[in-house]
Amino acid sequence: METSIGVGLGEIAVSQNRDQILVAFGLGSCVGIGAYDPKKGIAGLLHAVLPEPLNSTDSESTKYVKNGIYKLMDQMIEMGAAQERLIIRMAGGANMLTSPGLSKTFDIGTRNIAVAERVLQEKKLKVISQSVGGNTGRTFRVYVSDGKMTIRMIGEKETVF
Amino acid sequence: MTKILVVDDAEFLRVRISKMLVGDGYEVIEAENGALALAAYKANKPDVVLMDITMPEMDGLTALREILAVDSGAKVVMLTALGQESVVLEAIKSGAKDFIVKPFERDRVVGALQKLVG
Amino acid sequence: MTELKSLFTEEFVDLLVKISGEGIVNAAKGFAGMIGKELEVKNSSVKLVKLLDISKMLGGPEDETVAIYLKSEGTIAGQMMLVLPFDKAMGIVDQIMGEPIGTTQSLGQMEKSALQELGNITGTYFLNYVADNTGSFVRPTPPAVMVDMCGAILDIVIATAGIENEEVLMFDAEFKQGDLSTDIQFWVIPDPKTIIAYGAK
Repeated sequence: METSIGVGLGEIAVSQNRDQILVAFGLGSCVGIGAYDPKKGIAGLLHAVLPEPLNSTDSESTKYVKNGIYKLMDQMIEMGAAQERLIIRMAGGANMLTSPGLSKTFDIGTRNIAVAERVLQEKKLKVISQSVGGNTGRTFRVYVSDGKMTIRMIGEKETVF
Repeated sequence: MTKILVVDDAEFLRVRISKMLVGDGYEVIEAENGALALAAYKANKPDVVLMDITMPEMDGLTALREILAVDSGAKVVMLTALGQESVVLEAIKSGAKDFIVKPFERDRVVGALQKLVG
Repeated sequence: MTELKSLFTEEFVDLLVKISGEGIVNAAKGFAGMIGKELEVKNSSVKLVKLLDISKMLGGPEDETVAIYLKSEGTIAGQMMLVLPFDKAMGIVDQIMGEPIGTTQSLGQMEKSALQELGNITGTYFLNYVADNTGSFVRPTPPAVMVDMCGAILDIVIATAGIENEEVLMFDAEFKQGDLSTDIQFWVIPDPKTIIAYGAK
């Protein structure tokens, strides 16, 4: 019997429990990074919100992409995963506001993706597949049982990516 | 036929106002922002302009001034939700002939047009 | 300890909530005017809510939702959003267009344009009230209509507002027209610089 584990804004979940599905619901401009170690059967999901901190009050928070990715890696390695075995997929980073009067300022989705790509590249982590950009929200699921990752958009079926 | 230029960024509202005015025997031209309104004014020389304020590219108060700079006799009626006292004052001082606050009553709009061209 | 409250006095926050509450009553008048019917505002509340708690209040994060978003600029700066459930939005479009309820089956360009105007009038009426009662200069931007999962819509508020503040003023009410009733939410996220300017007065 499968249990969904919700991964909210700024949260990370890692699991080896084959009955669990890690879910980031409704990723708009937020970016979800899913990771899976096929040998140990360890899965992880990060739900990052913002590209970088503007001030120092909460600069360590995992709602920022870079901190989130670092923390996700730490937690998975702590559980026994090996970075070189990780299969990484990324989803989200949509630009939700598309009004002509507003579009210039709201490119957070694009910026989240850019920071994620940069950080993952710096850590020599390869992104196997991604479903990013556009103007629509996505729900991102990571199946701990086999590392399958899916996205679902409004009005559409869940698809493996 | 009296020509009216309807300026609003909401397509639904341009369509609704057009239908209303065409039904009353007016000829209607539409523009979806202030910049296009200025161009449409120069090209078509309408008798009256119904002008929204909150629009992308160029807002209605700026377009009002630009149109009056091109034609000091231009008859512009503001048609907007932005009914703050300071805005009404600014529009009238800038040369608007009337100021209608949305949501509008049909009679208010038609009455305003008749006063200007009738 | 809420971030907004920690910056300002209790009196100022109360004033903010009061003016917003009255502003929203004015906004409802605009909303009612658009659907052309007598609107009763029931069970309304205005409260300061932590952004991260919003998704727990709105129902499922995957629920299809309609949100009409706009910013305000000037001495009173911030963001506003009118939020409605998707299934109710279609009935509201019918009312705006003067069609029998049930006519609109999907939200295409024209329907979104009607919702855009609804958001424009509701948000602008709110700002009009605040401007006229505080003597400030305030202008709204053209609105953006979003039709998506609730969580994704929330994103845009959290991503933009969350950069600077952690809370929103949330107005919750039931808009009743005869037998029809719609739960709407109206969020107001003041720009901290604006609050500081007023808090200092």
